[in-house]
Amino acid sequence: MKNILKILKSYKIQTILAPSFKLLEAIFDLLIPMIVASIIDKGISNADSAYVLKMCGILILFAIFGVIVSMIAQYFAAKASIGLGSSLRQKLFEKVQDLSFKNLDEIQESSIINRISNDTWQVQTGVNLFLRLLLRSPFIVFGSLIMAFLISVEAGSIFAMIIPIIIVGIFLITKICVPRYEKIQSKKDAILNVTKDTLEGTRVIRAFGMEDKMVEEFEKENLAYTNLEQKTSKIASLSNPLNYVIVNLGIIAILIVGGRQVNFGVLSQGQVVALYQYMAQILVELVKLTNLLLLLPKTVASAKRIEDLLEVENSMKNGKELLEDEKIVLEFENVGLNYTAEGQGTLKNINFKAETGEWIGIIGGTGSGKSSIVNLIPRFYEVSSGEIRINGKNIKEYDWRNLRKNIGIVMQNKVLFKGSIRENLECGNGNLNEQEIGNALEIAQAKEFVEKKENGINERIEENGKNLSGGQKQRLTIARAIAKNPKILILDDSMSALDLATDKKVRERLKEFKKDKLLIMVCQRVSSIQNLDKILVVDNGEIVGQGNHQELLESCEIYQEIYNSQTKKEGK
Amino acid sequence: MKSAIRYIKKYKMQIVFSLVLTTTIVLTELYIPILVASGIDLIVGENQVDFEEIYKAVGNILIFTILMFAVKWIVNVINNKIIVSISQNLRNDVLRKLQKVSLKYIDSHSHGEIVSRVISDVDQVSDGLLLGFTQIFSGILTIIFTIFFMFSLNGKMAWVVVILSPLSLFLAKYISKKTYSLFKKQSEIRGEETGFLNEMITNQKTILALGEEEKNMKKFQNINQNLEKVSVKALFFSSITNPCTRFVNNLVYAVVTLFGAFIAIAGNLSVGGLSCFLNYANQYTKPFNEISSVMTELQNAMACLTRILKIIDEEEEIQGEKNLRNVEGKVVFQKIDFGYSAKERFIKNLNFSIEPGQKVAIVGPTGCGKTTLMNLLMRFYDVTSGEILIDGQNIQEVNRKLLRKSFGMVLQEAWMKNGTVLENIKLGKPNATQEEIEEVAKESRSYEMIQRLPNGFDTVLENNGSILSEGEKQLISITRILLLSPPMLILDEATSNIDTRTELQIQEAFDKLMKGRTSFIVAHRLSTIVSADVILVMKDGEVIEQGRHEELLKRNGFYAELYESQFGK
Repeated sequence: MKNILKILKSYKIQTILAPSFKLLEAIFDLLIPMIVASIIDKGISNADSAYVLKMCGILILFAIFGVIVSMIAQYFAAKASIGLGSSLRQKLFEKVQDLSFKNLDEIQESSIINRISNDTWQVQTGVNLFLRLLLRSPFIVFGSLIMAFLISVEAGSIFAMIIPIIIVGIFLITKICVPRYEKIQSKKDAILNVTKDTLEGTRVIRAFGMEDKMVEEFEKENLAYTNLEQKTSKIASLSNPLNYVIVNLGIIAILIVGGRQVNFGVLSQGQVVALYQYMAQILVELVKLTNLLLLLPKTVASAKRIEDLLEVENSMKNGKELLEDEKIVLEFENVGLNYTAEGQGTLKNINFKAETGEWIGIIGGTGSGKSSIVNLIPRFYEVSSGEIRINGKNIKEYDWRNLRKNIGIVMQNKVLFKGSIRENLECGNGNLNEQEIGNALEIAQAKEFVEKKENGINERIEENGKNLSGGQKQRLTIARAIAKNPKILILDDSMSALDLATDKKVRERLKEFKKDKLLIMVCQRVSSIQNLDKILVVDNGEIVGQGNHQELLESCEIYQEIYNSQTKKEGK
Repeated sequence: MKSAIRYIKKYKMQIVFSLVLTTTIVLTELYIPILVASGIDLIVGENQVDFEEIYKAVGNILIFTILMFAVKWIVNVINNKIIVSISQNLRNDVLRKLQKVSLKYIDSHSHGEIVSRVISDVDQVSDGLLLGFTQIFSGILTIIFTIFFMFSLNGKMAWVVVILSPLSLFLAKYISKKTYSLFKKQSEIRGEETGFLNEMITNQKTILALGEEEKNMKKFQNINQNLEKVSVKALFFSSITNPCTRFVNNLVYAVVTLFGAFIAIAGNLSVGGLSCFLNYANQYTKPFNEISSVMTELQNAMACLTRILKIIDEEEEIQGEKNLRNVEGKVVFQKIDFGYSAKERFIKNLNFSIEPGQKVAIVGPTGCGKTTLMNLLMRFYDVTSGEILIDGQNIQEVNRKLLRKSFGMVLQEAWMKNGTVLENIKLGKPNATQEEIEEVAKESRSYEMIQRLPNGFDTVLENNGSILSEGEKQLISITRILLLSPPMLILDEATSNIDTRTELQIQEAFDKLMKGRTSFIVAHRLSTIVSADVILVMKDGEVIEQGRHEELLKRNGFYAELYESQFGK
């Protein structure tokens, strides 16, 4: 809870004042039955109208004080809790900006989003309620106890017995139910998963005619959920009737004990009425407290999830050097990489050198490690062994934001953001003039279709580029990387959605673009890379061949195999 | 509304029982204070306490209290039973329906929304509807009985409470009206923030690659600060409702005390009666508050229910009755027209005929209708006009399940069910033996890949097989089909994410599978296309060329152009 407490500290005044004002209000509430008792004992029994009027005046005064005090308390509580929620969201979002790829692989996106958009609200609501109620309810409960003792020790001891019984009862029921609620939640997740499966896998489900099986599976999970929910509620719904019984037993005790003491002349009728009122008040407050306590584990769980994310350490350390040279020399020396994520390739002993003016192709099978190699260059992942140098310096020495500013990478997933085409191209390079934009679009073969849009480069792109075809999206992501005007441009299998003619045109235009850049292209098609300066052939995480097309055809067996697999029956 | 009733009908008896018990609770709950008042009136002063009568009153209180405990608990349990059972039925029905609606429905609706129908809307319905109903019921009863009890105690006092108490209600109404617009604004900004978060966090890696972190933080801060401002106002104004109503209640309390005391001095009200009134004055407004808050919940529940029923009452795919047995695999498309929406005419007058056992390659630029062809063959979508014939039978009349089972389908985006690898392979043939599966896995070259997984065939896949690469998923879905060995095949970019070497290795298995089976293949790999018996060249929803590789090359048309751009130098 370190971070949450730290933020609350900056709302110190509010977090102290809110409950304090709440306490003041509670004091007024506690005094009311005493005043009523004195009205009964002095006013009614002596038929003293003036006294009754005076006392009722005091009641009204109390009411006015009460509302003022509690409004102040509500204001401070709102200020502190919303402030906390808001700061937490900002902090979490900033934290995410600071995470590495490895961190992001380990934490699921949906869980990050949930923490920022749901858990912070849960904590916010929780804290608000706590500031307002958590002190008030116990205060009224124990205040009633004290008042009862002030009226009579015997009556007080009734309260002293009843209160712990109720608290233990609430505590026990809560303790039994809370872990079950967690289980219920996980059962609910199971229902959710089957539903998602049904929707995402419709085609396969129907193709295999397994609709009934899905229904069966769902009904099973649903039944398990329903049963558990029912069982739990049987216990949880005991709490309310139980409290009612206990308080009524208390009232019975007050009647008997009170009656006896009045008979001895120790107590007055009005005081018995006051005791009865206190007992009734306790019930109301305890019900509130129970609801609050049931909320507590939820809030704590949310707070814990938030803290967990805030405490994630970036797995890499940033450097300080800035990369400002025009010319780039990139060297991989004995680079190895072990992902911790399962199912992904690892790299062993990667060695190569490339520099500005060159165009490098990387080819290899699925999962051979092609993408892993290029992902190391902008330091998306940290090498496990060996080192990568740019202009003689280990890339760990560079500030990674600066390093990445110098590298344009087009990834396989064609991500565009909601906003205009222009705004999308300006991601990565803040201010572009018309000519730069036009040029980037032209190289990526996107100019034609962009110009056809009603608003040209100001056309709105919807979320995930829904209003564009796959090929259009891909061309825009290429244009975006070009507009960044990077010193190293990496295309990671990023022409897959282009038809072959367009693919070829893009490659031709890139040829002119490359003179003051280092171009690296990951690809599965031999035809796309066979004219490049140097080709790296990757297999099983190792470079098994490097050279130009002709050299590789002669020397590299795997390259020959790939080549043959793509051209075999061509008859040439 | 009608369909809503069918869900409740089943539990008619329980609901009636619950209402009867609720009535008992309300009556008893109001009666106990009167018993207590009578007890207090027996405690007058020194040596004026009638213990015999007190014990009688106390005995009655005890009996009623214990009765209350039992009845309250039973009502809770019954209500809960009804609620969860209705939820269960609703959920099952939605899911069953989802298996039967048209693909168009599923493709055109946001999956997130459908999921929230099943999960949160159902909860809202059962909670809101039933609890709302019983609460309103008990609320109205409480109001009626309270008025009745008060008038039977003292008419004048009763009028004071009845007239003054609802004041707090008006105040609460007034405040909630004022805060409504604030809450609306808050939920708007919150929606905006969640939208931004969703987009950015999902694409965080791209953000990092572009170096947009700082800009993003500022954007988020802007939204978040707006949200904070509105939220503080909304929360504050909504949270003064309680103090304000409490204030009015306290005023009423003071006035009741004042009147009560004067009436008592005049000798028309006992002290116990006064304390009883004070109690009622405190409680009388509660049901009003509850009813008004329950009303909004009820409305919300009704809205949720309408949304759920809209799914449940959605039209189902017509299954078709005719049998499809011993498929030979002659496939004919006759004058097919089709569009995804009513207006559009995406496929225009499509005609072709495929002989049994032929290997058909479909080529063409992105968006030319290749995938649509597959959708029509599987009857994921139905043609607008024209006929698709398999072995001379119009597939429109054939039972959909049988039709689909006669095709083995592998899609570009392979889907993995939540479950083990083994379960995923067995999808179409649940009773396959381990040996059978291992054999086909070896044939499809997925065996070694699966062995490398943490638990081999028993590795649990979640979130659409997130631990697998796209290529690995495709290998598994190919294995699925090999296991089934259906009479016809549809391969839509089935090997697009598998490297060419592995593909070459699987080819043997594929060749074996395709032998004698009509196969439709969408692929961009030349080798696949060249070896096809028929190549359908598609453009803008039409087959513009058709024939074997050499013939098409000689024709020097669109196919030749496509071919040149990929493989020419």
